[in-house]
Amino acid sequence: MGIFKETLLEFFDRKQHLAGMVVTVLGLLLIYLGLSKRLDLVDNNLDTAANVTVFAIGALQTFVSLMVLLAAVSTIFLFTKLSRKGQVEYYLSKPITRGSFFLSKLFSIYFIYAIALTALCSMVGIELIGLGVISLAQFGYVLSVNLISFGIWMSVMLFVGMLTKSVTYCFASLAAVWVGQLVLTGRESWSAGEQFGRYLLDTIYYILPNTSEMGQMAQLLATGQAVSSWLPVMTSVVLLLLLIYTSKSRFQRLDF
Amino acid sequence: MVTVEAYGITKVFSGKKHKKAVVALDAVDLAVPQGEVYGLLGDNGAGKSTLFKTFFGLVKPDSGEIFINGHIPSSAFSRSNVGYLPQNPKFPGHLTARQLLLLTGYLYDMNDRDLRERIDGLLKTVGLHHWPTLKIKKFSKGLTQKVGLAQALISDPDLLILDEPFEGLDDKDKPELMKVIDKVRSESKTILISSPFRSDVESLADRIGIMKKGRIVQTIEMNVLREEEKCMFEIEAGMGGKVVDIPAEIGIKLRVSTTNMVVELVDEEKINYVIDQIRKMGISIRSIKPLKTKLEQSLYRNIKTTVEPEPESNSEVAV
Repeated sequence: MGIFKETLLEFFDRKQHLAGMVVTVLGLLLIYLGLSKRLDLVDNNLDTAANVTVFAIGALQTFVSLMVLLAAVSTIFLFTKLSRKGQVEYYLSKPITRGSFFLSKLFSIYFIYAIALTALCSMVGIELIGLGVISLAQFGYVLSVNLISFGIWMSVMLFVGMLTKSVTYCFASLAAVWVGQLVLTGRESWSAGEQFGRYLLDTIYYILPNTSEMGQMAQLLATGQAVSSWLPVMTSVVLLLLLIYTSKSRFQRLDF
Repeated sequence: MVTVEAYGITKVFSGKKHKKAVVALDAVDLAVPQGEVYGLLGDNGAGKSTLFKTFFGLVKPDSGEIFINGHIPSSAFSRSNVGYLPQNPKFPGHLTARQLLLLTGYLYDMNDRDLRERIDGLLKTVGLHHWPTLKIKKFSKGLTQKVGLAQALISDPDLLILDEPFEGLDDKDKPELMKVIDKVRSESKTILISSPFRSDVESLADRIGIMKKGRIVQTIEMNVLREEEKCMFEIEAGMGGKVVDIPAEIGIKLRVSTTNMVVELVDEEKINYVIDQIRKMGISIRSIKPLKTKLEQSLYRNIKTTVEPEPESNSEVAV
């Protein structure tokens, strides 16, 4: 029994696997219904198999990114708990350094949720592969990019949770970042002609995590198209590392 | 060898918004040698829990130095031979008692076989073996304190720090827990135990420190206190003008009036002789109570805000 197993038991105790299963079953049904219609069109020569593949990858990406967001929301309670008085005192009174405990807990949470995400999303993947509309490699592209996205969302929740100790602020920041990045994706159309405004919006855009753009990249990679710029992934990963480092430093300074 | 050393520990919790800054610890000095049981008495908010937390690095003092088994609290080594039961402990509620002890053993890097044997023994010792599948979140206060004590003892540490271990316990659970702690005490372990109530620690402690507003204002050697206490009694009886004879080898009369008599005896058991003498003279005894010494009165004065002396009727001996 280590920190990983303890975190795993908490995951099952909170019945998060059951919530994930319910969403997955709904996803399986919706994707099946949507694809059945498209496959009928292909059978009647009204659509092409390539179009159906693009549709299927889009549906898969939507489902996986939704699961990623749900998983990120689920971790909020775990991270706010880490910064509050209570259970942490039990751990920190044992011969383990704050840094080791923090990283053990963080990686345990990440891996448990990543495994759960992989297992649940694989059910949808198997459905799509079974229907012959995507390949295993295409599923792999979508899943792996989204697992990086999950890490980024998790680091945002960790940072806000550690800073504010508030579940409400974590929810609010998740919503703000989500909306912010979506809005900023269309920044080029607003700032035409204004150099300063464009630089400013670009800076904000690249400071925020770019998970929605990463989702688009996953679709491009899965459909064999070229990715024009890897900058959003790189800046998001840098942000992830920075947020984890800052949260760890904050955790090491907290009084319990 | 000194197990716990603290020199000039000061901690001020800075006020947020409209709240004032609070001096939680004010230049606290403490040295607890190996094998001693040290009781820390004081009000809620006196700084007992904060002091204990500084020993684990859970609260970082603004100034001062702490050494636990010769190591500073930020070092994991300082906690390798220490068991801790925090005040109002919150353990992972999704675990059973056995799982919590397994996790604790893992954190102490214990050998798996030794750990399982130790867990079986500890669960029986604290009486938790009856609830093998019950999760901690469903535990009563008594069961939580019991599992808390078990996790503190899992690595068989030489230093045990118990922060208000009897808080919220009923008359059934308290003696059980007291018995376990007393057993640990008999193994010559160093124990630091805190409580707002003297009765919680007096039978266990070798020394008592009284904490008030973040300072240890007085330290009392319990063997001195016990020696003084057990020899003085006030006997309330209708003496009239009768004189009760007490030989020098039994004790002396300090004060005699028509309604009562204060005696200082060479040992506690000699009170039976005095009672027999009074009865032989046909005097009826209304009550006998051990007298509070100056030292004890001082103890009560220092923690009066929360710890009132036990009602006198409790300490009277019905005759």
